[in-house]
Amino acid sequence: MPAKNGEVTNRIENADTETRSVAKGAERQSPARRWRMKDAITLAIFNVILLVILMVVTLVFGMLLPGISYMIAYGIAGILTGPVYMVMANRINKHGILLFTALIDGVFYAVMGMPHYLLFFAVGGACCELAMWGKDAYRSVPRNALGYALLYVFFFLSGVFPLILFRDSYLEAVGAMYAPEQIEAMLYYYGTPHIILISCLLAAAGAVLGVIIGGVFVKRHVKKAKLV
Amino acid sequence: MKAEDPRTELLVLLVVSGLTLLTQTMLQTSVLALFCCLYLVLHGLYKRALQMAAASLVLMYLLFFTGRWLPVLSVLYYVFLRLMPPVMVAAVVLSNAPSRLLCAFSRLHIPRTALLVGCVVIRFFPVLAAESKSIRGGMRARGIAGRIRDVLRHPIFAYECFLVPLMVRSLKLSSELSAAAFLRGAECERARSTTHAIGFGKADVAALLYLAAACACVLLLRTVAQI
Repeated sequence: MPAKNGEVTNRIENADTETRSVAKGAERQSPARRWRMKDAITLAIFNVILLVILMVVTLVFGMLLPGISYMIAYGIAGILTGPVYMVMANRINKHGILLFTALIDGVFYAVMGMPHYLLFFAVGGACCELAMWGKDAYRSVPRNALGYALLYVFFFLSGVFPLILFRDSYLEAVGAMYAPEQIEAMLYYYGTPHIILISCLLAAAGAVLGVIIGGVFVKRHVKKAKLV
Repeated sequence: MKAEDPRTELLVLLVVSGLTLLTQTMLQTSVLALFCCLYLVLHGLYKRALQMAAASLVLMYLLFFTGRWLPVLSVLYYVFLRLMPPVMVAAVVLSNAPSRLLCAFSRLHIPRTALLVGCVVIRFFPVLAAESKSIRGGMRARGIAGRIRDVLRHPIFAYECFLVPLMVRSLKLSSELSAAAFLRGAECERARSTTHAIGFGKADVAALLYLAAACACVLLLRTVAQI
């Protein structure tokens, strides 16, 4: 009898372990973590808003403050788009938000005749996703600040990388698009190491500030209305 | 050219985007814009072709006659002018019904979620413009940032008053669109059937020949300019 009892106990333990592993697997593939149609539509709608704000800010600052706009435009855009991003991140709360955001922006620029942006944005988006590793990272303000700051740094660097990697062909391609003085300004702002560093810091600071404001915005307006 | 496959239109759009990057002079850009404008006409989009042609001419006028005094704006006009050819071809792609686009691109084995995101992004630009207009109207009716002077005086307050209704409206729209997509079987795993005629035909051959002619013209002009 004692031997039989031991066998039963072992069987129960085995069954328990099996159940736990099945439950773990199910949790890994649970629908709550998978992207659903609702998330995709939310991502699309909010990305249109993000894209429009980014375009308006870069255009307005490009007109009002030519030259220096290369340095500050992304920082300002980060502050203004931060609240929109935070609402989107809190609503979806799934891995891939930053990657898809970067890809949508990249496709938009590619369609507009700047296909090289797509590659840089894809790499940038993947790096941002690595920064957001872990559960519920998209609901945390510090983690979002880190990911979004990285995204904006990549947005700025997408203008710098082509100059570093294939300078001559890039200058030939953009040579037709810009006036000589504009190219001179671009080379100064995208080609001087300390200016690049300051611009990256400004872009990151703007994005961090935007996310912090966004956190307050979500708490004050969106969570109160029970929309997230 | 009316029954052209959306996949062919997408190919034309990608090639024209590449050509835009290759054009170096105003003449090359203008020739490409002319080809794209004719492409719009061949698709029966006369009104849109007229609008785009008028916009291109206005930009050219601004570039040549006012750019001299305002060099910053001249760069902007030139960038917009260069963007006109891809925008014209994009208008042809967008003239298709969303269900036709979804069906054609799903045959390219693009994930359905990505397709839906693309369709919503395309369709949401005019919706956003309409929503912004109604929010601005509401703000004016309540006496909030009615004039540009007020916006400049209190920019943060004006932005917050604009952003809060926009976010709430966007969240509601996303819920409504998701519900509509769900009811139309957007999450269904099976292949969708369609009433639209999709497939490679004579119209596609004609479009590709037309594209080849445009490429040849632009590249020839580029070679001549380099010599």
